[in-house]
Amino acid sequence: MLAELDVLLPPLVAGLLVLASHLLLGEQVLKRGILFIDLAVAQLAALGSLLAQQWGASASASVLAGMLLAVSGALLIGHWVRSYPRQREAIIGLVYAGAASVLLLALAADPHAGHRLSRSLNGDILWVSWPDMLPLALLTPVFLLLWRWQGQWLRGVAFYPCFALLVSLSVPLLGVYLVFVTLIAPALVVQLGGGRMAAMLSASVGYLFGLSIAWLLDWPAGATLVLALLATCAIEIGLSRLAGHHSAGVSSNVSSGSS
Amino acid sequence: MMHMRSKLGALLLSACLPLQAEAVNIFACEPEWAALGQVLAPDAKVTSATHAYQDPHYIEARPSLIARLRRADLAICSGAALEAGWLPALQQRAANPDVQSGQAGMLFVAEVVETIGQLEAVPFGAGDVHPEGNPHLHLDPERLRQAGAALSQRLAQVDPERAGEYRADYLRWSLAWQQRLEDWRQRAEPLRGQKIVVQHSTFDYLWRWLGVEVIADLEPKPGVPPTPGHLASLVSKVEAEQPLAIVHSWYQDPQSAQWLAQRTGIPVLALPSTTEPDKGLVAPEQLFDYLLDQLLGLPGAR
Repeated sequence: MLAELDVLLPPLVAGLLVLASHLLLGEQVLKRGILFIDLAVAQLAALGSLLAQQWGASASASVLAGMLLAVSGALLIGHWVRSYPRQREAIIGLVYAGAASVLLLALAADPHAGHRLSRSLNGDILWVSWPDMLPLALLTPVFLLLWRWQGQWLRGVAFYPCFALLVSLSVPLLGVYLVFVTLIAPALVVQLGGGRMAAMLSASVGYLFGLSIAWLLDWPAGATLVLALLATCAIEIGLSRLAGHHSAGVSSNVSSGSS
Repeated sequence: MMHMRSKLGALLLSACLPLQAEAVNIFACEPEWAALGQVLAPDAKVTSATHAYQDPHYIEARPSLIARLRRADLAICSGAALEAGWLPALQQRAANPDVQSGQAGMLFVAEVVETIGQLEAVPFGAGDVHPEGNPHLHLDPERLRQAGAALSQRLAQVDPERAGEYRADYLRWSLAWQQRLEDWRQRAEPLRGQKIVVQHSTFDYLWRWLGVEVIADLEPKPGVPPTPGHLASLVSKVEAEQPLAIVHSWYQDPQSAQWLAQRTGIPVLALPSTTEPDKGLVAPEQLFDYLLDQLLGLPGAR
């Protein structure tokens, strides 16, 4: 039991840490209709750190370079989206494809770097150790406090760089798919009337459930967690819809108690 | 009845003997080291992190890997940066002080057995080459014996109570291996001087040992998947030199090798790069027997 806890606790804490900020970010992403910004930003961060490594930068400097490229890319995307709001999905999609292709070319020239890089895009939640989480653990409370006191600013001009910073720190820990699902699935629960508490709860249960399954059946943890989160969030949406039908007059906020 | 009685006797005998110390736990990064460990420490509990159909450069993180490395008394890996993508994270998560790098319980074979293809510095754009040399050294049977000697020493270090047994097991195995080396050398005589086309440097040690010449690699640079342009450039060379076969390893996609085979008429041969108990390749010698059988079975080798 103790050994299980030791193996599963760091991934669980990492997942909940990412969830804490990404629920709020995800709500914004859904509201703005910029679903794939997550993938574009992750690609930019990976590209930045790879290019820095090829220029001979150290490990921590290359992480910073990745964040720098992700944040500046997100600023640019934000600018374009404001200029051409109707073409936003097209712009984000093209940035994603472009960054991914430059990354492939850079890797073809130097696959040796690919080994070192493989973790930054395909980060695996099971490998996460306590020191790995430190930067995100420091940034997340700052983000949550700012959201509370400077919400207008964060939801306005500061959204894109802030989003890029948190996502580029989360993807090396959890991997691109799990970050995407943590960003979108609970936010979808909120948007479909489940309420923020219910969304938080169903995603947390998803993490707990997914990690237990991965442990018991010895399945790769990342993919198992993605499916577990999808399942618990789908169940929560179904439950809140059901509750909504039974008491049509009740507002969506109250139905959060249905989980 | 006889059988029953002897079993009972053994049971009684073991009950009278002083309690045996716990069997040693061996964690192998690749199946060949698990096979070698099982030979040199027959009572040990041995597990392998990867199997023959997996590329040992990459690995899925499954919870049991952490648990298994945590329990290990001795970990044995190829080294030379082969496992650089996943082993450090696994060592950190398992938090087992016995198998951290630099400890007696962590054996990187490439650190005790000389590798081929070492480089002072890796030039930019050279591909997936390790400055520490080619890590697939278990495919040279002579080097495998050196690895066995190193493993046996480490076993005696982490489990000093059974040091004598490990030494005896190693000597017995080493002697038998010497005999096998002679046999294999004789059997492989028809292969000497033959030519071959490869995909990746997986079998380089075997080709060197056999005296087989590698005339082309399907990968334009090590670790870079074959590109159409590179494959097309190989057609005329392969047609002119008529190699024995186009060899790829079990875990690789056969598409590129088959593409070249269709255009040149040279047969494709998929070979296991390591032991695979499910296919009857349990002990290291079975792997070499199988590899030789396959190569000698090629039309050009007769």
